[in-house]
Amino acid sequence: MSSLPKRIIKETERLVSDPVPGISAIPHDDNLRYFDVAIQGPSGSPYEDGTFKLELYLPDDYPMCAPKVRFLTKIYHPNIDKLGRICLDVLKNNWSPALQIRTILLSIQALLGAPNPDDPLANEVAEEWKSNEALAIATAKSWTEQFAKEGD
Amino acid sequence: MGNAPGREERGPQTLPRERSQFGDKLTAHLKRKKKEEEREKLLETRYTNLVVRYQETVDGGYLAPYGTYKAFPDYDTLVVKLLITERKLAPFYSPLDDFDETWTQEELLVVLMNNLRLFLPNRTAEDEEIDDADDHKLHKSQTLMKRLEQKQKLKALIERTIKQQKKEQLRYNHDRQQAFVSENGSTRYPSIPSNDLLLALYGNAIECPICFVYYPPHMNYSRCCEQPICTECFVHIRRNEPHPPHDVPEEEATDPESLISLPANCPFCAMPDFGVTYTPPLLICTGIQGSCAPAEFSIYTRNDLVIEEEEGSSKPKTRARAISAAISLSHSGMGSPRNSVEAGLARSSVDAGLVRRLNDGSAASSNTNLEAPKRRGSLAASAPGVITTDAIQPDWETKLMSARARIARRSAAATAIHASSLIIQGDETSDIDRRRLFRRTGSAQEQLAIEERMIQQAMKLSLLEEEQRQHTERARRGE
Ligand SMILES: [Zn+2]
Ligand SMILES: [Zn+2]
Repeated sequence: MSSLPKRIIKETERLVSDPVPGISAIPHDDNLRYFDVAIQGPSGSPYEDGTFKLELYLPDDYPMCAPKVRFLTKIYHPNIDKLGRICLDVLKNNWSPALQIRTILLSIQALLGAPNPDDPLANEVAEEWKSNEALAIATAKSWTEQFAKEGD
Repeated sequence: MGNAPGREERGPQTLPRERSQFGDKLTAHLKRKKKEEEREKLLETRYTNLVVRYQETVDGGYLAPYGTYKAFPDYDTLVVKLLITERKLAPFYSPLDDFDETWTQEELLVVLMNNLRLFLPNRTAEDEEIDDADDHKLHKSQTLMKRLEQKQKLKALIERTIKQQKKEQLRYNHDRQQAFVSENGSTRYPSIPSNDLLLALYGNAIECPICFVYYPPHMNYSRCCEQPICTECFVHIRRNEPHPPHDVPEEEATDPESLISLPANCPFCAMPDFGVTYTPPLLICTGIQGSCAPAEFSIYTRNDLVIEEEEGSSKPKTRARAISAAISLSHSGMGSPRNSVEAGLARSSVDAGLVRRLNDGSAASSNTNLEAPKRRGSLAASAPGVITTDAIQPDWETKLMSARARIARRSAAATAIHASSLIIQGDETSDIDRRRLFRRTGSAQEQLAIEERMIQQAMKLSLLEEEQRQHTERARRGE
């Protein structure tokens, strides 16, 4: 395997030296392109007090293409499907090489605080969100309680 | 002429329909072959152009990228080389991984000597991710084989390129060493940069906001929001792959015409149709179409600059840095198209300012008469001096066409699969599952082998037929 691009090394260093509140991203020792990520649910959202685990992978042509990110913790959210895949424009066609791991994780955290059922990935969840928001939020809360609390 | 006369008896009228069919096939085949050869030649040229050669230098930079990105880039190398020699795009500079403003000039020189390379070491052909998007293999064995062959050829080409690059690096190392130790080194090795040039270039290096390595401060600037971007990052930015509209998943796209391909957005402000401008450094003009060789560049010999020795200099080396500082100031957010009246004015005022600063010996003091030129303001993609991503990546149209053709073929193939009884699983099986299914059962493999044999046979037949056709043609013309 060839050496890691300077950008990835520096981003990793800066994530450690200047961490983002409520977000951690730690690279694997044996694959520095693969990160274990934990995001705190934003306060005021149904995900509050939950810690959500994600995996993040930097493909070979990063930063010319977006990192691959997926939720590992089960989550009830109209823009996140059963497999943990995330529907977020900056992870797809609106990716820009000026964005970073840090900014992407912040966007994902923001998505937890502002679900967008009009642009769904998880269709049933989005339907429920639109037809009965109170119930959907209650479900999201209970899933958070069930799957995203520490001490498992 | 005159060979194989015995075949004449068979006459032209025995196989009229088949003959013309095979003839067409062969013509098409020959045409393809020729096109393929042209393609290979182009590819060869492209990779040759991607080798950094230290004698091909513009203002202390080069005409080919360092290799910060793993993959060899896809841009039009001829266009970019031309733009660099015309000083319309920043040259590719050797990057520094780290930079510290507090380094003395001696320290900086040591860092530069130890770290400036023509290209990224340890690059291998294995690193190359060779695109293989056209993965619906069934019914397309011929294309598949051809692609495998092309892949092998490309890999060999990349290996040759890397080898060539290593040679160039060794030559550079050798010449730099010689230029340093031999008596008239600067005349024998005119393309090895002088220390003054190195200091003027890297004295105020700045970090590219995309690749995070340091470059001389005269970078390209985005046309819309005036952010710096190094040339290597710029040539790697391109349109997104053609994709279906937002709500249609990639695998389910069936309408070729619905595919979207848009010019790249600015990475910094998302403005559509990304483009940059570049203003060459005012005081550095070396190498190709320059005013002196890189080895000759000296801040002491420029007679348009009044420079006096600093008395009892505690900082004997501030001058090159002052030049560098002036360059960096004159570039922060300017980037107006060169050759304009304003650029000319800016040049003389910066020169004058620089002379004052040099006489002050105060490279670092911020409050001098040297005014930073006015910000340029946003420019249209079509404004003179703006180089857009599309301008150096003209193949986006071909890519869109082939993506459309791929979708058309895929939906045709999908229909065929549906019609046949190959599908074992239910209707919900996705395209991807189907492909996996075929791979596992091996039926695709068998199909491949059979199709391959059939094609070879057809080719043989068609060659024979063509030979005969030519023969009878000649016979008819009475040769
Ligand atoms: Zn860059
Ligand atoms: Zn912009």
